[in-house]
Amino acid sequence: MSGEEFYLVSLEGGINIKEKVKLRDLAVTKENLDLNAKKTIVIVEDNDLLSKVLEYRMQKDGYHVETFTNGEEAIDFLTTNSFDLLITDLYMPFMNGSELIQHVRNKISTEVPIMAISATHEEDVIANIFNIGANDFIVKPFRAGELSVRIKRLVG
Amino acid sequence: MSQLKRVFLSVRILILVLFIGLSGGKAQGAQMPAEFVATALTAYGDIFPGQEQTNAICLLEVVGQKFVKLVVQAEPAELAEAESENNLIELLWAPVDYFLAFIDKISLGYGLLYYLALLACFFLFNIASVVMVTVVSNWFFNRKEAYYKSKRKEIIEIVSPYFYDVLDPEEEAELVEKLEKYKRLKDKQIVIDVLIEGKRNFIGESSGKIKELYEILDLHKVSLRKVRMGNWYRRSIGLRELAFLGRKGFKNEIKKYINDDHQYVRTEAVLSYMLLDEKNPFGFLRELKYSFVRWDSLSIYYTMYFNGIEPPPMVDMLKHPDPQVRLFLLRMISNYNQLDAVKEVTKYLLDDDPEIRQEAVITLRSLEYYRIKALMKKRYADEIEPVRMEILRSMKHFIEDHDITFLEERVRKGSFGEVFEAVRILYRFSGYGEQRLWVLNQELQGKIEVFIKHVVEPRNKHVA
Repeated sequence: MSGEEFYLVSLEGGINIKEKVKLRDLAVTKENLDLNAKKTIVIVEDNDLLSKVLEYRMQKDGYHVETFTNGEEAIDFLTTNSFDLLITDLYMPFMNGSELIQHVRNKISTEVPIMAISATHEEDVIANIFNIGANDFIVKPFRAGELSVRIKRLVG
Repeated sequence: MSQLKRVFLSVRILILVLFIGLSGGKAQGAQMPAEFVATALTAYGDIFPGQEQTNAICLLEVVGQKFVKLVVQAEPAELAEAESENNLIELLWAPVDYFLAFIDKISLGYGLLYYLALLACFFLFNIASVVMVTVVSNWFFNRKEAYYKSKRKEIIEIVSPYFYDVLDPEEEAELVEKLEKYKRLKDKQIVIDVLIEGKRNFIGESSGKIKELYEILDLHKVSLRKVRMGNWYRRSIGLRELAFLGRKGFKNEIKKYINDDHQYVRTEAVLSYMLLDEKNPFGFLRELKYSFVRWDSLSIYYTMYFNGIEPPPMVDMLKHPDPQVRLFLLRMISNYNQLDAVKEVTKYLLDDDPEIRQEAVITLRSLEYYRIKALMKKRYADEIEPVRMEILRSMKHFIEDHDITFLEERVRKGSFGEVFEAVRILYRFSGYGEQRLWVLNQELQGKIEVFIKHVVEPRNKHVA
């Protein structure tokens, strides 16, 4: 059965292209489609431990995860790819979280949910983060379960 | 002429040529060196007929010989004659003469050359050793850092699931087995660093699991070793590790360092003690023999704040013999709004230490204990200036109509600060207060007009 052959017909530039594929190739194609359907979460965090733990957990929750260590690195990806949630630390080298949030809100998307993470307790900083467009803010240290719930709520 | 002498002369002549070239170039454009060289070549031809004239060393040599013959060895009369005869002398103008005389003066023997060579060698050796030390230490540092990074990455890969997941016993045992392979002391230290970072980022179940892991892997032994055997820095780090990752039992070990000779160790021990005994975080005060410094109180406050430690009732410890501790406790009562402490705090308005009396006034004000106003007013006359100022500031919160007379008295007789504060309170109290101020101003022949104008100014409204 897996060796059975099919013809895929596609229209490219007005020309019918007939392609012979086997069933197992089709299965791979389907898997790829599923992969693409996964929601993408972008983590921008300079702490390698936290970044790794979050990545591990979110992958287990069924998300596709991209990690970056600062805002500058993340911008290239954010500009050229679609994503469903941005989780960013506030204090990072080169480009901090606030600058990244502002950039995303002004130049990339006004809709995509953004969650900020920081150890700061300063009310001014937290208020400013919401003012510039963050949807959620979580203070370090946090409960691992709480973060998962908040992510689910934001991503849907 | 010996070879060495020849070299020496050549060096001297080279300096001469350079000097002439440089100064001639500056003074007369680029013609001077060329003119000099042409003359020198003619002289060379006279002395060494038939030899290659373009040989630079020979050229320099002939100039040198001519110079030695004509300038150094010649008698004044001969020199004058030679000067008129030989056009080479015309090239050696006055500054050059002076320069050569200087050269001769300092280089009568070859010692200077050796000395210069030695200096050059020493200089080169210095540069080489600095470069070598930099390269080697950089290499060691990079190697150490690369090792740390790679091990850290490995360890993070292993422990990540542990921080976030509920692992079954088999998976947990596997994780412990993997971590137990890190037997070297520096590897164990990396594991501790990763666990501390995990503890800083996660609370709840994960945090408990991190502590378990610290015990299972016997990492507390590494920290205890640092505490017991290290210098003050390692001891402080060890104490911190025990506080973050250790169980409450380590409290007794930490207690030993509350009175350590080193200030940092003492502070670290105090903070660690607080973290390990959340029910009685100020229990260390009973053990404290050293004077408590302000920096300690600040560190304690922030440790409580950032670690969510519940403040114990401070009133129980207010009788501590150290006045700095009493000050700290008064501030804590104020920060944590411990209203049940007011009666005890009131007693400190009569303390012998003016700093404590001042802090007691501030604390009662922040607790908004209005009933104390009468006692404050009664004490006012006997108080020193800083305490008086705090009493006046408290009046701002407690003021009633019958306090106006008291404030007017301050305006009439008080110091600069007291007048200022009393004027501000009266103005802000009511329209009547402001009216009274202008009457007082007339009575005092305009002496308080400046103060009134200052407090009336809208831009100064924000001043507390």
